[in-house]
Formats: sequence, structure tokens, C-alpha cells
Amino acid sequence: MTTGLHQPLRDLNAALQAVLDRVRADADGSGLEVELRVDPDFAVPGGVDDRSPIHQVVGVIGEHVFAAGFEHGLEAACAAVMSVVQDDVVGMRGRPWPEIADDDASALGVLDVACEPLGIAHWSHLGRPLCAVGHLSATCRALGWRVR
Amino acid sequence: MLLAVLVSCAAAAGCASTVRIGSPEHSCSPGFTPSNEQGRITAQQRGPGGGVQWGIYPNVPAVRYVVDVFVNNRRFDHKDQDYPPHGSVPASAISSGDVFRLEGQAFNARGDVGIFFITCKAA
Repeated sequence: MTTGLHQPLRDLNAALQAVLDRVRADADGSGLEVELRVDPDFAVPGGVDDRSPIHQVVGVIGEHVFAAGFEHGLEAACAAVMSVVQDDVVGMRGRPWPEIADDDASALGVLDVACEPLGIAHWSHLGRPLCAVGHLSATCRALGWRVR
Repeated sequence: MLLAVLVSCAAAAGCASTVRIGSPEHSCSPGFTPSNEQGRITAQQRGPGGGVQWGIYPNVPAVRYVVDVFVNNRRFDHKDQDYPPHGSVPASAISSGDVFRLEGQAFNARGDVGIFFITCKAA
């Protein structure tokens, strides 16, 4: 397995914490709580999953459980988990999230999560990379934008 | 390969109807949207190698939806929520030729349950 920067992922617990810290930072204020854990019973309900723990990492948002994709690397997993959080916030609120607005509350568009082509989990705005996942609030503050 | 079935079951009265839609050769790409009087299911893939987006759009009210999504018989997603679910399998998690399968149940306030599922092959 590799990270988005093609480095081996050696410490799964550290990888989970790294992704969790970044996703939680950007999901702060969204109203959702996200967890990551190794669950050997998820992928094959009632059966035996003989894959390694890195294939068994799941994200948990309330009653929503999903494969986190750590076997594809740290950055890909970070983007995948952030994307699921984004979907769930949109579903819960019934409107796009995160939407960026400037100081006079004019909408500047909705951000998307991506990993490629940079190989880094990031937010993009109007098709252009904006910042790495985990840095959304600080970046928007620096630009005089608000996340809503 | 594609198989889609929408089933309406009343818990007290047994299955009310079964409708089979689609053909066995159907692909997930560019999209597949089976429907009947109960509602519709969508599975969409922009093109070969892309992710699969899916959604449930019921015509009848429900208070709870439970959905499981599988890729090649490995569960990828599980949702249990009070509004119609949607989601996606990213391109990193599904390859050309993989089988996408969605199974779900919708419960109304009386406890009746509607069962739905869709299967298609990723392009």
C-alpha cells in the first residue's frame, strides 16, 4: 500500500489518527461526528474477511458505516472519508456543503473533494485546488471567506 | 450483467407486488434507472474506470431506509437513516468488470417494508 505520495503506510493507527484529525478539522461545525476503526466483520457480513486490517478500516458517522479505503493510501483514504462526510452533511442539511461566501455573504461556490491529480487530499474551488483537507477553515479565514 | 428488482411487501399482508426491470447485459455506465410505482433507483457511472453514484427516490413515504452497497460481494457501504439515501463508490474502490450491488429496505410508519435491489457491472 502507498500514500498519495507513494510512501509505504507503516503505522495504521497513526494513519487513522492523521486522517481523523484532518477530516474532523474540516467537518467542525457541520453537525456530524466521524470515527475510524478496524472492523473485521463489516465487509463480509456473517462470513470471514481474510484480508489484512488495512482493508478493514471503516468510517462511522452515526448509523452510517463505510469502507474507508486505507489500502489505497493515506491521502486517497483522507479524500474518500472527507467525501463521505460531505455527502452526509448534504443529506442531513438538504443543501450543498461546504459553500463558500465572501464578506458580504455573496456565494462563491461549493467546494469539491479530490485527491488527484495532486496525490494529496484537497478541496477544490471551481475546478482549482484550494487547500489540503484539514486546512479549510484557516485557508478561508486567510482569504476572507466564510464556510456555510 | 444487470438485475434489478423492486418489491413491495406489507409486513402483515405479505408481498404485494414484484416487478423485474432491466436486462442481464446492462452496464452501470452511463447509467441505469429502474423504476416502478414504488419509486426508482439510480446507478450512474460517467465512463469506464469511473466511480458509481447511486440514489433511492421513493414515490411512497417511508420513515427509515436501510441500505447496503457491495462491490464484488464485499460490503462497501451501510446506511440506516430517516431520509432517502444516496452515495457513491469512488473510482479507487471499483474497477472495470466489478459487480456493483445495492440492497435495501424502506419502512413506513406502520412497519410495512419495501425491499429494493439493483446489480450492474462497472464499465
